[in-house]
Amino acid sequence: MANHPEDQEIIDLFNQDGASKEKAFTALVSKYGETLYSQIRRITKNHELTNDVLQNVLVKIYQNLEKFNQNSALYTWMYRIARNETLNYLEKEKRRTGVDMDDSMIEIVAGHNGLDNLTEQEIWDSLQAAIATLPEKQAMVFQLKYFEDMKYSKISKKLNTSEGALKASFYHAKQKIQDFLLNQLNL
Amino acid sequence: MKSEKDIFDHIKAKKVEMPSADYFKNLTEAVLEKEQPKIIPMYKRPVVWIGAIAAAIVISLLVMNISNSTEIIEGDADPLLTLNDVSSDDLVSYIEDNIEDFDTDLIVEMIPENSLDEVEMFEEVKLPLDDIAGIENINSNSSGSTMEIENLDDQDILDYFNEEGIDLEDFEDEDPFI
Repeated sequence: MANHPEDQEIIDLFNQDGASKEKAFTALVSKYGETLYSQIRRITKNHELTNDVLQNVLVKIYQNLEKFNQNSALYTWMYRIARNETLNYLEKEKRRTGVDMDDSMIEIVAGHNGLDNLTEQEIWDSLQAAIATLPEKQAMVFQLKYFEDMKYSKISKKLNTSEGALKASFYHAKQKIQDFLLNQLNL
Repeated sequence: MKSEKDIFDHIKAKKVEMPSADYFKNLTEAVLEKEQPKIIPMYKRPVVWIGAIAAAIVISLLVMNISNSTEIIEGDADPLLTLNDVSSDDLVSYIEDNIEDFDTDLIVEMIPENSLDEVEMFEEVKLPLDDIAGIENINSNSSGSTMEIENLDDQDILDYFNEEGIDLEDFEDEDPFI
């Protein structure tokens, strides 16, 4: 596993000019590229769209990193950019081409009376709608823990948050999503 | 205890298929390339091309214009514009023949200012010594002309008339010997 520099180190390096800037950006993509790709891909469910969106996201990060005020963790800031960019891009693409995003991102385990009567797409759409209702921090923790199966220790470093607080956030997020799905899907 | 309503036991997230490490490397390079200030070679700059074309058009128009002007000059054969072809002797002879047609201003214009000192406007006339003495004598006496005439006798006057071919009858009533 690659040994990535600390976020502050990347930011300081980026704020220098010339080759340092490029070096910092390369380190940033190396550290967070896969997580951002995964986050975007779960919404777009398509590599080509993910590639387009991720490129736009990285351009925005490059253009605005100097203005990043560090009131939140670097990943939180990038997550926000990625989420907004993905939703906006998808909205445009759907209007323009009616793109069909049929890659399944979940697997339904049989045995639940209510879920068994629904398609994966219906469940997925409801799950996305539920996540959208969460506060940003809870949504982020839920995605990293549930979808990426990331350890709390790693999430803690990424978000500059204690593991206890992360566990609490994940618990609340799960509760809210479950309530939303039960209500939405009439289970 | 897990109830049937614990739906996360029945919804499993699939792992996202991750592209290769090269993908992220290439993506980084693509973004950096997009964001680097681009140095456009001179020959690729549209302004340079447009400027060069405009300059070429202006130069060709000027050349065409000059060429047309030369043709007109040759066709009209304006003598003033072809003076280089006229020899100095021809010019001098022309001026001598037409000197009365030149007015003073034109003559002054045609003579270069710095050569005015070298131009001999009047030829020095060498007079015989007797004549010079006579002129000096006249100049030294303010009423000299009257006095000289008084010194002339009638024979001198008659000789002068004969030399000049003056007929005495032309004077009629006037007395030539006043």
